[in-house]
Amino acid sequence: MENAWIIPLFPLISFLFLLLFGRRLKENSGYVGMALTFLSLIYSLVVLFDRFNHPTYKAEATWLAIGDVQLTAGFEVNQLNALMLVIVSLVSFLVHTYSKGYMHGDDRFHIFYAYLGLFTFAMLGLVVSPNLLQTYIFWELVGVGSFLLIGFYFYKEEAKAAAKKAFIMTRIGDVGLLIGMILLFWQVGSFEYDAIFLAVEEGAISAGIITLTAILIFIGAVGKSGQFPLHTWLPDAMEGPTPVSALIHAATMVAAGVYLVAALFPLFTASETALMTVAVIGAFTAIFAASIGLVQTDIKRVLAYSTVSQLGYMMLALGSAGYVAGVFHLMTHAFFKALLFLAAGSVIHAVHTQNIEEMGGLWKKLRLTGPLFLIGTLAISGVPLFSGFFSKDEILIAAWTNGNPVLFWLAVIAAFFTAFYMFRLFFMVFTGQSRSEMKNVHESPKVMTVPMIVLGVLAVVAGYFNTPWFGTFLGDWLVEGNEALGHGHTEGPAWIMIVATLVSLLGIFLAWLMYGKKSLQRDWLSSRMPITYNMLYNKYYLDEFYALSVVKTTKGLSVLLSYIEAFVVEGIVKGVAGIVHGLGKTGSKIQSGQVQAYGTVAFVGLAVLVVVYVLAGGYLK
Amino acid sequence: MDLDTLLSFEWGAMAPEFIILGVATILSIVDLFAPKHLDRKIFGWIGFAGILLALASLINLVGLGPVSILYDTFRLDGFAKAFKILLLIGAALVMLLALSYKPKEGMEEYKGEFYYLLLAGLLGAMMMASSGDLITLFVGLELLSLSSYILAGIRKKHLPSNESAMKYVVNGGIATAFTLFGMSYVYGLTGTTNLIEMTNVLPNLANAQYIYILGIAFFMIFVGLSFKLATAPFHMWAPDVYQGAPTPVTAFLSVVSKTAGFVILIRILLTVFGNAFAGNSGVAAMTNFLVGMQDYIAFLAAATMIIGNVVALRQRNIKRVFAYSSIAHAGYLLVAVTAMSSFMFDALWFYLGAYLFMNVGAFAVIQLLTQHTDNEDIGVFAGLYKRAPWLAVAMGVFILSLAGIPGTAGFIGKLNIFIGALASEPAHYVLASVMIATTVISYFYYFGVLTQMFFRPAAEDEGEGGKIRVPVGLSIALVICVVATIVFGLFPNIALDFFHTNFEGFADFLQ
Amino acid sequence: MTFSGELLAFLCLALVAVIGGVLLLNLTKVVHMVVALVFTFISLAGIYVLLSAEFVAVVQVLIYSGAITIIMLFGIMLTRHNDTSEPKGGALKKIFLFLGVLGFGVAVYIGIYNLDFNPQATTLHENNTEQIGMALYSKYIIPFELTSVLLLVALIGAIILAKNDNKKEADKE
Repeated sequence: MENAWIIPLFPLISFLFLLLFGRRLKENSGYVGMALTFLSLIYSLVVLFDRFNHPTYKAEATWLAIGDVQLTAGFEVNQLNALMLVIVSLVSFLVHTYSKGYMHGDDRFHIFYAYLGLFTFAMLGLVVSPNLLQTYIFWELVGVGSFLLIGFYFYKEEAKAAAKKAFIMTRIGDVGLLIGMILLFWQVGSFEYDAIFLAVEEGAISAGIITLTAILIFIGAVGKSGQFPLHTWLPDAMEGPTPVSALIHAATMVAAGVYLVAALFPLFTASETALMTVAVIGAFTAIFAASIGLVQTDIKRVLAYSTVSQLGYMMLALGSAGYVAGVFHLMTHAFFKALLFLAAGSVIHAVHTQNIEEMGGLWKKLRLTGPLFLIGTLAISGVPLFSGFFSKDEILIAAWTNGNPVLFWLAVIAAFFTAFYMFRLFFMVFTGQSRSEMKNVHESPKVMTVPMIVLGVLAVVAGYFNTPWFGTFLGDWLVEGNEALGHGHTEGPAWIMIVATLVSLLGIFLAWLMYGKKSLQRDWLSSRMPITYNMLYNKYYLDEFYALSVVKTTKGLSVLLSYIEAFVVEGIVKGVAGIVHGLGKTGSKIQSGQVQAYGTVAFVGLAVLVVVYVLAGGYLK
Repeated sequence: MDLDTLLSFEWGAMAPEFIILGVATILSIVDLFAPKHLDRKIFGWIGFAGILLALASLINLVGLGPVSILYDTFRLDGFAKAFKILLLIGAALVMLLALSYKPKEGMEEYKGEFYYLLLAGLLGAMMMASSGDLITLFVGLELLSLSSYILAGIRKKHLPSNESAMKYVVNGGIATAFTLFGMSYVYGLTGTTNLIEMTNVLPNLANAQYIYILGIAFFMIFVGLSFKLATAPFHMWAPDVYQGAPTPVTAFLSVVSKTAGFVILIRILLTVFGNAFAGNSGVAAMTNFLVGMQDYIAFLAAATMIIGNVVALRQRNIKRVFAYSSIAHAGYLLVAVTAMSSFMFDALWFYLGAYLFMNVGAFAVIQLLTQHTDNEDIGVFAGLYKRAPWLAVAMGVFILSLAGIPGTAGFIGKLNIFIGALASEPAHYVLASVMIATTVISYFYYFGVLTQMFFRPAAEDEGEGGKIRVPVGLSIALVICVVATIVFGLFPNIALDFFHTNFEGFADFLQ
Repeated sequence: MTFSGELLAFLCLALVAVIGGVLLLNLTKVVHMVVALVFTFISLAGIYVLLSAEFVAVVQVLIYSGAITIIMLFGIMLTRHNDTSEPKGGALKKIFLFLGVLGFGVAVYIGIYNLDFNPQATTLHENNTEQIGMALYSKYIIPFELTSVLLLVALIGAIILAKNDNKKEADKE
């Protein structure tokens, strides 16, 4: 554990090395990146196991002294860090491997790997930071990495716009984070997490400041984790290469906001209002994004909205004092969402389109991708025995026991939506007839499928680290030695689990009725499952009823919400930009190029200063 | 005064100035007699060597206690040493830029003059840093100004260069008038030009009317000097002059000249006004003169930051963008001046140092890209990453540093200033907020340049411009700037420790 | 404030100086402007005499009223001296400028009105020139020497800007 600082260095080496020699290595750069991230992964695992038996390790050195203020730099390995290290390095390694096949033939292959290295370095650095300042630095660096990767296909106008948008939107959040951070520093006199928690515990900070700083920091998390209203960049970010979407915009970077809230959890728990804000924003985002996801036709956009929605879940969990639930869902989500994205990438790789209307019937053609995608879909829908089921269950229990039924039911409805749109996606892509001419559809190479298989396994088993049935190892371990984080496991009423299961099954069922069944007569599915088919056939009117009442209204709602997003949120953003630009215009108009005008401005400026001085000082007798 | 007294002074303390003066003189004489066909580039290298020599001798003097020659008309204290190091490094880098400057027209005949005028300007800046007497300070200021005027207009056949020089002279004249007028009031009140003596006289001024006049003098000096700093309300010349002047001169103006401006401002502000009326009970609300003035400086700082950053958004000419960016950076520095926290010196010194490296570096790249084509549109950066990846990466580092992205020296500098603004008593929340907000605005134009470099395809008709050859001098400057920007961003303590151990927080500032 | 001959002289000189300045700005012919400038210079010299600064007064007449004016006239003769400057600038700018001048003037006036410096130096006029010389060559030797560099720079600058530099001519030499 003493050498945990070395973990982020491997990807950094990869980045520098590929920057220098990537051109010569061509596609062999992939191996360099893979090998180095693999080292990170191994070492992360070592650290994780080490952490099971040893207490938290922390090392730091003075980095910068401003006046009497000592700023330090260092690293820390506590439970959360150790877990995050493994998640990040694992997903990163798998994505490195996968990209070897996906990016094959791209003439900027080595640059892609260099960027991946940079990003992984930043993300790992973020995770091991023991203080807010260092976190912030890596936080920005992560943003830079994301910016570069989203804009990787810079010749596409949309990609360029998306990269810019992502950077600027997240920066708006970052300003909140920065101010919150500075305020905390101002109050505590240190950026150290430990010192901040100590001050909070001792009541050295007034309640108002705690709330204010917590909310400001949360704004940073909102930007990074794509929460409402700063979420609009995340779907656009899908213009980046798909492995990037898997790594950054599903598994790691967007989870950084959740991580930040989790890392500062004691600060948040000290303020009811802050927690409530987190929970409400989270719940609202969860249902808001899920409802938008219902009508999307771009495979990656559906996944993007589902990411936003799932991140909302995590926030809801944290806001409901469910520390374990939030972190647990972060982990399971990382695996199954990465899986879904990689599988989606595999689909795109095969059919060269992202429009699900044009897909269909791929199950037979993609023998590996199909089942793996199904696993991911089942996991995210919260079907029992898959990882998402356990973590989502934890979140629901947390929301319920925290005593806010509205948020709880919002989360339940969001779960229903999730199951519905995910299976809609699945059915449209993999079942039925191909809706367009698909030539040369073939399964992806091994280098792409193997990472997916690994993630597929994890998407199933990751849930068993923390179950109400076999024990809550993960939860117990996460909160070990720190009461501020709450309990390892909260007992909830048994019906929650049943409701959750029912809701997700209902969603799946409905999706199947609408998108799977439609092609029953013609498809092989119909002949193999005649009993189901007949049963459903008799319930035809129910089907219509659903289609009319539930689906139509939700569809209407989601269209409305899309409009809100398009006009209100974007409008505000554009308005601010417009004001700034207007000011700039006026400013450059005064700048006429006339020498006399410049002198006049200076002199009048001086005169104004002097006159104000006279008036303010009361010298005018 | 006889020869013995004259010789009893430690003239060795002036060694750096003597070296610069000597080199400049020798160069000008040699230039006169050297054959016409001799490439004057060698002068540049000699000048560069001279600056390095001066820097070496200055570092040699670092351990020396405060030296005062002839009633403080020259004084070498920690403050002077620290900032002269910056000035010398800045000038050395600018010299490297100048060595590689080959515009299309109008410079060849005056290459030689260019180098020793640069040295003369540097000499003026150095005198501004190390004197405790208003007269010397003023003469130094004028020497710097005059050299700069001519440097700005040295591309005689280039119309924008002429225009820029003209504007610079006229505005400079107005600024000088302000400054001198203000100084004359201070002299009238105290009866001396010696700053330390003023410090002793001023606290005893009990008459409210004197204080009032001191206030007016303060404003005149401040506004006059704001010309050198390029801050509001005397910032408007900067975009036109920066645009028209030869690029190395622009770099000189934005780095050396600005640093010198801040040096003289701090010197006068803190010694003359800093001590006035402390604890004088006879006058109402006059605990400390400068504290009373903080609001005004804060207002100017905020105005400068807003104007600089907002107007920059509209610019297409790359040198204008950097002119406004330079105004904005001066605004950030004024925030440190406003706060007057206990580590104002550290913050200013570090920021000026960081700014020096990142800005000279950026101008080096700009110079390289614009000199062939005489095209200064922001579009010259298009597809730079494709054409010259190293150059693009270097420029990327400078831009990120200017924008204040963590990991670069610019970030540490801003952090210093920012914490200073909050840690002072009373804390300047509003000013700090303005600083953050304008920093965010600045991202738009900085990233505009980044987008050009990395995301735009290069223009098709790149004949000889397609392959960019980096001259020796320029590449040395670039490497130094990149390394410094990153090293001081990652390990700022190298610089700050050096600062603390050698200058002891300028304890000798008022001795 | 007591009415004295000194005051009367000051008022006259100041008035002439200010009028000269205003005329300089408002006249349209260059030559007229120079003459207005001379008025200002000379009245300033008179004010220096009132302040017991004879040396400065003499230098003022010598350099400004003499040398500089002559050079200006030469310049006008050698160039297009029929040039008339065109009034420019919007009304708004003028109003701002006027208000600025007014405000600044009032502010300064508040400051110097009835200003009273107690101890008056009485020996200023004794050996005025010698005193200046002593100070210049002993106490202020550094700025003095620096000024020589300044002048050198100005000289070089003037040469650069004024030199007629055709490539062919340079080759001929």
